[in-house]
Amino acid sequence: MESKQPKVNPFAIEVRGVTHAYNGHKVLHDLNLSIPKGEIFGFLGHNGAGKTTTISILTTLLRQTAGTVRIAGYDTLEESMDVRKRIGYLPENVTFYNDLTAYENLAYFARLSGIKHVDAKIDETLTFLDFEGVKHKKLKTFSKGMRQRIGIAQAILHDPSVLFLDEPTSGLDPMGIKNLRDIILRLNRERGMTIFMNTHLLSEVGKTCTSIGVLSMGKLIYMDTMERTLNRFPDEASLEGIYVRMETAEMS
Amino acid sequence: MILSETSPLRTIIGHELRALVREGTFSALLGIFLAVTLFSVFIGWSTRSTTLAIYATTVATLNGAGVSHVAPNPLLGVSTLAIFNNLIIYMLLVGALLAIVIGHRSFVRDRRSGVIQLLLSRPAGRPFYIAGKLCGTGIALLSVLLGMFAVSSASTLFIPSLHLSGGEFLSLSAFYGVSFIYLSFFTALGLLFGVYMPNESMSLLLPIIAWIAIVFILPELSTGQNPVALLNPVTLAHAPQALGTFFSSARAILSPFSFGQDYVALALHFLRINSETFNIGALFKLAAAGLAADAACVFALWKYSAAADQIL
Repeated sequence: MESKQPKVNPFAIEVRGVTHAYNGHKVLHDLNLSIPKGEIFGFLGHNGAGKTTTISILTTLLRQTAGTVRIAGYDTLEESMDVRKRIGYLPENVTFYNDLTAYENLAYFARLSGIKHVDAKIDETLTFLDFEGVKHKKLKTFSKGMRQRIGIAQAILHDPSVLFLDEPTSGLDPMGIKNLRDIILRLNRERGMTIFMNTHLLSEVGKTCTSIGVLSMGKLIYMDTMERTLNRFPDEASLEGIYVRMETAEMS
Repeated sequence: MILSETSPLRTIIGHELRALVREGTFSALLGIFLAVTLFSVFIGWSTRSTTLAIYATTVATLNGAGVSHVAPNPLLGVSTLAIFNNLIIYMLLVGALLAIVIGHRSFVRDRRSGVIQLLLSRPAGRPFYIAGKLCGTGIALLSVLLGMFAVSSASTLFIPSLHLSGGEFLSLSAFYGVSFIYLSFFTALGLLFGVYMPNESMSLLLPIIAWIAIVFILPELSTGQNPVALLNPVTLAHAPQALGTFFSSARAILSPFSFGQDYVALALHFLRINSETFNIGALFKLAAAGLAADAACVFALWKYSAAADQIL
């Protein structure tokens, strides 16, 4: 990987005045986010709120109509290659190549990420994920949870500083959700990774995230640390109640 | 280096080939294709040997009956390469289908596995992804044809009294070269429909319909003026002409798109079976059609990967 001096910046993700429109229809309105390094950020919102559009912009897949985005200090439009080297991404509903083995799938993404010692890196990553035994098995034999773990593996192979997860718990059984939560917490704790997670599962947000943002109809209606959020709504028993109150207030 | 061991282009090409070989449809078609190659050589050799044997028997009978002036061996003027005659029709039919499958699977595989966004988020990015797709499918097709070339060349080594000269080997190579150009068009067509049609079955059905039109319907309409041309290629000057203006008009309009006919004419020339139909313009036309289809693929892939709709 090309060695470029890392930029000194306290924020892993900085979004300033981002607006995005499809065919004249605005789906994001003046979005502003500042996520410090080392956070696990839960991005909440109903279907069609603009969460996936946001993650697509943050991962350089989509050019915003207006505004700036910096990931690890690099501008997503001007320095997209530098951004891509520093991010890991797991889109929603990725199944990977069924006819290839776990190793072949991971090696493909590892090489595309510019990793030189592919075998060693795959072994190291699978060991970190407690997933060593499956290296030479074809993905068509994998469960949804196992595939998701391969998805995480491909996203962290190149040691990114920021990891983007789009609905990572979608379709997982309770055990799969718990395993994924443990992995996310370990990545954050042991590797210092900043994690940006789009999700619907509020119970998981409460157990995993250190801060949250709520997007409603393309507007960021709330953003704060998890601790302050829970203190701000002491009468609500769960995060779900808090979320419903926010959405209802916005709608009205 | 663009093709160094760690280059994204080489990685994507390698992945294309690996993924294709693992798929049942491709492997089955490839097996069939190699088998028919062997079979066609056998049929060609058998036909030639039978004709020679009948000629020898006839000459012996006539000589026995006191006839001393016998007509010369009719195969003396026919190139040994004529034993590969049946390959032309197999290329037109099975080859084009295989080419469509190669192109179609290349993109549909990525879409089905949901990895397109993931691939585009890697440092290699869109240009390498598109170049990798085109080169990968091209190399896959080339590998198939090299396999066929190896099978057809090797088979001549095991057939008694059948030896190809250096010039004939070159001609056989040129035949596979022109086959590659012809089939590249169908590979690009498969890829193009794979990108444009979200429905997987339709995206395979439509290039097959286009193939039927190009290989069967267009030649029928454009040679309707010259009805025997498809069965027994002869020059227009010697062929009986159809009556009326329909077929002459159809020919004028449709013959530029009748790539199958152009391919047959070129293949017959390179296999030294019939050079009367050879037209260098047809070669450029096939190449131009392939390049145009490739350009359409680049545009479609670029547009698809940049499209907001698929990201939403």
